[in-house]
Formats: sequence, C-alpha cells, structure tokens
Amino acid sequence: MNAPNLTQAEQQEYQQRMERKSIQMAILQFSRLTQQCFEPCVEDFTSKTLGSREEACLTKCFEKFHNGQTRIAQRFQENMAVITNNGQGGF
Amino acid sequence: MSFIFGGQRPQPSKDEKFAMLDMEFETSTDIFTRMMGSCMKKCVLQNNKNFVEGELNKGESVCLDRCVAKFLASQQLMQKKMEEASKNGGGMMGM
Repeated sequence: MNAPNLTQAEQQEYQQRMERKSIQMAILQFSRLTQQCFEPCVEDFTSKTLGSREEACLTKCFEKFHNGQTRIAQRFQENMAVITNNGQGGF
Repeated sequence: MSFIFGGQRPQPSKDEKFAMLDMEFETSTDIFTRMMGSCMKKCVLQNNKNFVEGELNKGESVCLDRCVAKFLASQQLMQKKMEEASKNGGGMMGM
C-alpha cells in the first residue's frame, strides 16, 4: 500500500489525530499490563491488601515489561526497516 | 468530472487519505500488540513465577530479539501464502 500524499495542513491534522490515538493505546496497554502482572504476582486472597512480596513482584514485573516493550519496539522498527528496504512492502 | 475530461486521476479526498493511513496504522499496531503479547509470554513470563529482577537478563533479551525477527518472518510468510492463495482462484476468506 502506498502512503497517500498529504498537504501540510493535513499532515498537521493527522499528527494530532495520531497523538490522541497513542494516548488511547497507552491506556489500553496499561490495563493489559495490570492483568499480566497481577496473574503471576497476586495469588493469596486471605487478605484484601497487597502483601509486601506481592508489591515487590508487581513493581519488578512492571519494570520487566517496560524494558521488554522498549526492546521489542526497537527491534520491530529495525526489522520493519529491513523488510521495507527489501521492497517487500509493509503490511 | 475532471478525471474524465481533464485526463487526470481524481485526487483522494482528505477523508479517504486519512482512512488509508488509519488502516495502515491499525494493522501495524495490531501486529505489534500481538507480537508483544506472544514474545513477552514466550520469553519473559514463562520463566518468572515471581519477579525478582526488573531488568531483562541476557537470555530474555536474546530471546526477545529473535522472537521479534521470527514473528515478522512468519507474518511475511503468511502474507505471501495469502497472496498466492488469492491469485489461485478467489483464495480463502474471499480476499
């Protein structure tokens, strides 16, 4: 698929639109992250407060996911650049 | 009707252009999110019943790098198969 040519005004408008979309995506990803870390870290329901071990686990899990996401995004971009340069096009 | 009389292709309207870009954006976002889920599950979550370390260790990092490359390679392969299938008589999913 070829990217359509945008005028400068359209480019600006689209950029704003993308910014809104990114925020929406970040929120969605955040709720998914909570679930992904809750599953392995929180298993004890004899109390309704988070124990210190659970809290530590959630914190480390958050960091781990953040680091993982950053790395995946980097590699994704690198790989996509190679694919696009090989003339196979994007998606 | 300038595209008939003027001999020029009609320029897509702003909405049409935005719709094209949206589709591209949504496709790559979808692929990225799925890849993220699969690779984190295969490389990180499986080995961490209890998270003691926030940093990615060497094994996890290498695993993620390879996972991304393989996921995209799989995607490319599927795309090729899909194109072949649609050339050979309609293909699956009517695409």
